[in-house]
Formats: sequence, structure tokens, C-alpha cells
Amino acid sequence: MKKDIYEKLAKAVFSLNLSLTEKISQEIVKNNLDCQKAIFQGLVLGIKKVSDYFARGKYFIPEVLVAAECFYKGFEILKTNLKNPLPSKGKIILAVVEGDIHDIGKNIVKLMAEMDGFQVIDLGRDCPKEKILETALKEKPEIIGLSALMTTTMLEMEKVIKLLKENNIKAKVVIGGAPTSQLFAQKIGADGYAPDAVSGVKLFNQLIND
Amino acid sequence: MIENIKVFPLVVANHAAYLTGQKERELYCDGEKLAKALLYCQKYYNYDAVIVFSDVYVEMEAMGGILSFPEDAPPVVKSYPRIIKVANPYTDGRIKEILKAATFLKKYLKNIPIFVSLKGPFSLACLLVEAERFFMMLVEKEKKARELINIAFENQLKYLKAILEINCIPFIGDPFASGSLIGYNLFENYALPPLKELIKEAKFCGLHICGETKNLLPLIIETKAKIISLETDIQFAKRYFPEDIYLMGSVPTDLLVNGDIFQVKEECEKEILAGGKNFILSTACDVPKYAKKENVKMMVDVGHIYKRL
Repeated sequence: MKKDIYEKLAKAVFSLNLSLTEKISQEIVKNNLDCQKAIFQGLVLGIKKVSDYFARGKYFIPEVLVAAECFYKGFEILKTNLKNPLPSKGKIILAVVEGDIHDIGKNIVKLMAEMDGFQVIDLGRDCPKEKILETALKEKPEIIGLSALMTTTMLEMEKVIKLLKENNIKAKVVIGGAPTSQLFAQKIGADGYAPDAVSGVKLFNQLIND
Repeated sequence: MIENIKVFPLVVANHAAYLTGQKERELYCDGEKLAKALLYCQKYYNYDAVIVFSDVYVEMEAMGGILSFPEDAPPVVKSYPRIIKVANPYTDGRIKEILKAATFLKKYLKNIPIFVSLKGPFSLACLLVEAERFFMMLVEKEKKARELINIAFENQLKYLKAILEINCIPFIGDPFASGSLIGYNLFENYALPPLKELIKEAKFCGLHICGETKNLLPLIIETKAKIISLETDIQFAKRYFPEDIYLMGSVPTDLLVNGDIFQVKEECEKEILAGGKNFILSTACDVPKYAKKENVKMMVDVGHIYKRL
């Protein structure tokens, strides 16, 4: 029965059914079932299938956004009954650089990284470089992900990287966003470039294991 | 006149501001200044057609949105329209400034086609409520999403007629209907029908779809736009395109900022060879504000050299 209910939860997320995700999560809490298992065998499994469909071009941004809504709703309910904190692969800071307010891409990366077991500190959009530095000094992340959608604001990434290096921040810096490229990443001294969210999370895993 | 367009980099307000040493805000808010800056760019680079475009929020603002204008950066949304209304292109917001700019350019560039940019209804619907909210509506609140697209269509139909009235060519940009954001099904169900209607009304127009569009090519052709501008690999796209469609693209914009003239030359030659007959050498999207002048010049030169061959 327990296994069944986790499977149902995974299916609810994958089929983008918010009210069903909510209902099953509440049932799990009410029956005092293992919430950690419900998160990993239910919500995470569902979202991994969504991520797989996204990578194969069967789901697109609208479906991923709704799946994320389902995931976070379920997580909010299940976390109230968690016995132990969830394990983490590592810490990532994500930010859309100063001057840029486009954050869909960053939000998708955040979702996929969290689903993959990373702890994400989201500094939001239009984020000043000083705030990125301050958070990096305090949180000591393994990776810092920077995003920009405009050719004007992507130039800000270079300034962020320079400031981080001047302050001996050891975290690897990954950049992404429509106008960026591998060529640009090399030019500004980033440790990696990700053309999309799926390859971004792959790169996080590689860099963490380096 | 269209047959003469061989090189058409999408130089818009921000690069024009940079090239003419003005603050971006001046061009976004004043049609005459925008026109003069675009005229300067055309004379400076000598490309074969001009597009009038300031920023993505022109229609959304005219329909009730409120923007703020930083001195030297694109406008920022302060609030989305509370009540969405169909704009009067001659009185509401800055659409009249765009039309003023186009009329001015038409007067001074008699032998050069003047295109005027307007959003595809799908993308305008996105901009009316914020993209993430709209994308979620497509899955969760289909009816509401359709209502938004319908009102966006109505607005664009009026705008399109105003563009035709001044004898300019509509150039529809549908950045949110990109293959990188939505798939074949959503494009077919939501973005394609209003695009087809709008293009039918225009009779002759350009269409630009941002991002990766390989999967969408058959649907994009179905729009019957005569000029289609893509970010996609031209060699791949060419296989799908009938001879009578002018295919436009797709020099990567970051190359104009970060590359050198030799890389630009190589890329342009590759595009021209792949594009074949009825190909217009262009940028994959807008020319970036800080694109190197020598790179844009090189692009135009390569296009013109091949034109003579």
C-alpha cells in the first residue's frame, strides 16, 4: 500500500495534477507514512520523469513549471513530518546578474538542481555582484551559477567573476542564458557553460566530483 | 524591392543608441530620435533594409501596462495591465512613436524596404501577464490563455493595419513561441492560428521566431510568411523551405560581440552558401548593443560581395 501511494504521488507530479499531488501528500502525512520516502520515491521520481521528458523534447517549459508547482506544493506538506533533514550533494548559489530581470531559465535550473539533490540558495534576479560575493563568503558553496538573457547584461558576468576571484572564492562558476556561449565563458574565465537546464545539472555533478 | 535585400542585420534601438552616442531611453520614447538613429545606422553600415523596433513592451504598455525607463537600459515593467484593453495605435502608449519613426524613415529611405516590428499574439499574451504565469495557464487554465491570445490578436490586427497604412512591411516577432520554450503541440494549438490570421491580413510580411525551431519548421512554413527569420541552423532549415520563401538568418549574435572580423567573415560565408537562392544574410536575433562595429561592417561587406557574384 505504502509503495503504491508513493507511485501514485510520482504519477500525480508527472501528469501535472496539482490537486491530486496535494491530496496524496496530505494522506501520507495523515497516515504517518515515511515522508522522506514519499519525497524521494514520489515527488523526486515524478519530477525526474518530467526532467527526462524535458530533455527528450516531450515536455517543455510550461509543463516543467506546472510540475514544479506540484513538487513544491507536495514538499511543503510532506516536510512538516520529516524526521531527519534531507541529504545534500552540495551547495549552489544561483543568481540572475544585475540589470537583468529574466529569470525563467534560472528558475528551471533551480528546480532541476534541487530535484537532483543539491541545496540551492536562490539570490533571485537583478542581483548585485556584491550580494553574490557576500553570500559566497558566508555560505561557501561548491558552485555559483550565473544567468543573463540580454547581451547587455551578460557583460556583468565578467565583473562578478573578477570580484569573486579577487576575494579568493573557490567555488566553480557556471554561466548560462540565451546570449551566452562556450566562447564567452572561456573569455570571461568561467569554469563552465551550460546551454540548458538539463546540461547545467549534469555539469554541476561533474564539477562537484572533480 | 525585396529581391535586393541581401544583408539585413537586425539593428534596433539599443545598438542604434550605442552607435549614435545617445542614451537608450531617448530612443525608446521619441519616434523621431529613433528614426534618425536608425537612419544613421543604415548609412553607416549600408545594409539593405531597416527594421523599426524599440523594445518588447511597446504593445503591452499601450494595452494598459506601466513601465519605468532607466536612462540607458531597456524599460522595466512596473505593473502589468490591470484591465487589458485593445490599444488605439494612433493614440495609446508609444505605438504612435513607432509609426512616426517608420513614416520618417520611409520619407528618407525611398529605395530601401522599411519593416516595422510587432509581436505575435502568443508572445504579446505572455507579456500581458508575465511569461511564467502565462505558460502555466497553457496547462492549467486553457480558456483563460485563449482569451488572452484573442485580445492580443485583436490588438495586433489594428496595429498591423496601421503599419500597412503607412506602406511599411510588418515584421512579426514571436520570441516566446520559440521551440526552446514550447513544443510542437503548444505552438500548433496556440501560437500558429493567430499568426496565420495576422499574416493572411498582411499578405506580405516577415516573421522571426527566436531560439531553436528545428521541430517547428513545418508549422512555421504553414504561416505563409514570405520572409522567415530564424536562429536555427540555416543548412538544416533550408531543406524544409519552398523556393519562394525568403529565409533569413542566422549569424550568432554573441559572435558580433566576442568574435573578430575573421570569424564573422567565415560564419557569413558559411551561412550564404547554406542559404542558397532567396537567402537574406541576417543576425540570429537583434544586433547586440555592444556589437563591435567592425564585425557588423564585415557582415554587410560579405553579404554585398556575394550579392555581386
